[in-house]
Amino acid sequence: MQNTDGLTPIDRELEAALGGLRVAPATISRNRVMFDAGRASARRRSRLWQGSSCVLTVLLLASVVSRPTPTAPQRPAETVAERKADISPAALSAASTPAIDAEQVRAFRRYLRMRQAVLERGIDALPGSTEIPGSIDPPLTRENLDELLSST
Amino acid sequence: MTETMDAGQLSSWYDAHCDRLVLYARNWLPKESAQDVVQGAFVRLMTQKAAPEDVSAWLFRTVRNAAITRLRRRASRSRRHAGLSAGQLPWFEGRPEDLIDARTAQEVLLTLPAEQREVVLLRIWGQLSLKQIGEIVGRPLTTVHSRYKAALAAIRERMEQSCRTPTD
Repeated sequence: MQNTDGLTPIDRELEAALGGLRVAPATISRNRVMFDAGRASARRRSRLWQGSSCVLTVLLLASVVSRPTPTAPQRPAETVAERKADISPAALSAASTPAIDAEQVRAFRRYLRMRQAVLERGIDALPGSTEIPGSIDPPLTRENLDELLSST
Repeated sequence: MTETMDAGQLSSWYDAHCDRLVLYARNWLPKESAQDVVQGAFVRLMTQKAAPEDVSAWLFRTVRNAAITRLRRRASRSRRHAGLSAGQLPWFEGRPEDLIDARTAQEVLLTLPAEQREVVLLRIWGQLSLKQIGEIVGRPLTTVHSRYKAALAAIRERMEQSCRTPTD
């Protein structure tokens, strides 16, 4: 009669008899094995850290050594465009001669005449009224204005 | 690999497997060398990232590889046989209740071919399945099974012979 392992009952008996023998105990120091195993495990962990730190150090050194020299940022070439001033005569006269109101010109002329009269005749020359007789104003031009100013 | 290991697990594995692993290693090596190999296997186990799925099979396989490697470094095959047969420390502790005499059993085991003896040691004292044994020795299940059966038959035959012609 055979079982599923193909072993006969006699084989089973022999198996059981052999299995009943107690194996001679090893004389390995249990503490020694545990110590060595623990040390090996710790060494493996420390090597992991050592390895990772070495890799990081190498990467750091490589990045420092191979760092490219900084280059100035590329700017477009600067061009100076000359701006020519408008020097046409019309523009010059417009810029140098501001527009003068006609009423202001008349008042200024009256003031200049009155000032001239006071200087010549004293305060008696001051009119009783605001109007100065004979004040028909010629047109005010640049030459007239210069003449008036130089006369004072 | 299933889980990380700690000292408590290693201690339990040591208690469960140490003697059997030494017996297995003595298939190739004298006792002192066998113990060195087993010690190295436990140290190596602790350096694994995680515990093997089948710790027992892993330990036996590691011991086997280390023992064979150490054996190859040693002297020739004839010296190995001389080392195994002569001056062997007992493999088993003889007790009155044993059904088989421990010394006789050892002598009979030593007469077996090494590959048959290996299978017997793994099956009976290693308490491994034939499938596990096949994975350890790198042979198909049918080969392991036939080796085991042949070994049992040889043991039985030689035990009967030793019973018929008792030695003093």
